Amino acid sequence: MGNDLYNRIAVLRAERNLSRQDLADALGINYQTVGFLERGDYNPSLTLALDLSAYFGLPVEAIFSRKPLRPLSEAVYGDGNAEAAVKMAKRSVR
Amino acid sequence: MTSTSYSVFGVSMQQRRTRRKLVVMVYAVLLVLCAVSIAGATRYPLLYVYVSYAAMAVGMFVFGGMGQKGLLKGFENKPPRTQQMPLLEVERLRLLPKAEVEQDLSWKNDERELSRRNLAHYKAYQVVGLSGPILLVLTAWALFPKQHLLSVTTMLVMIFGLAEVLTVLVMTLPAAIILWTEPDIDLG
Repeated sequence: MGNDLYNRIAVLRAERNLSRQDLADALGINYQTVGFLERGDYNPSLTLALDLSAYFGLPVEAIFSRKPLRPLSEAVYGDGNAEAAVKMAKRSVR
Repeated sequence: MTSTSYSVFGVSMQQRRTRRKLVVMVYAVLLVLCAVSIAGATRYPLLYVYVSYAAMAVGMFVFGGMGQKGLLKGFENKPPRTQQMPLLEVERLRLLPKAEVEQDLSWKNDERELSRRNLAHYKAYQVVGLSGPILLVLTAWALFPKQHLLSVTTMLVMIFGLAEVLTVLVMTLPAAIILWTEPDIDLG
């Protein structure tokens, strides 16, 4: 198994309208490190992963995954099927 | 990795390409100084002191890592001494709240920066470690001058030169590796 680790930090940060500096200040890390984390160029320590989890109020597995993560909207509404979610959305608009 | 002001002599060092140019230029100057010192080793043996000072100045004020100035934060990861710092005795007795010391964390290397620092030192060790066997061979040759064509003085100058280059590398190479390898920095 490779060393790949995927995360949703960029999405979660954008949802909360936080800058990299805001998140970095909250976690006590350099804002550049936030960029490295978001791009997947750096895998955080367990401590930092748990700090992120606590900060966002989400379980660690909602933020990090060994497999590529589905878009958050699809994960929440799509029931595993993005096309079905789109159809449902279109029906609701009609 | 970076200190708050990321420039040298007013030139921004955010771009990796610029940083690499700086590293090449600095090492070119240090190499010339080493060459001058080695060439004059028998007549002016104390020239090496100035080369060591130059390497130290590079580490302290240009590359960083040594102390709190330069492009990189201090490798020791210790807070800088400021006027706001409590007296050592008071701090030792824990009479002041810890938060007062840790308000400004801009000096601190976070976990990624520490991992980069450690990796850079490991890589530097690979290079600097090579000098051990070379010094061993040179000193062994110098001990038995009849077995080769070089004079003992020449051998000593070679050992001296290697030791001088080694001294320069020990003081500057880890920081140079970090400056060389870190990607472009987005300060925006």
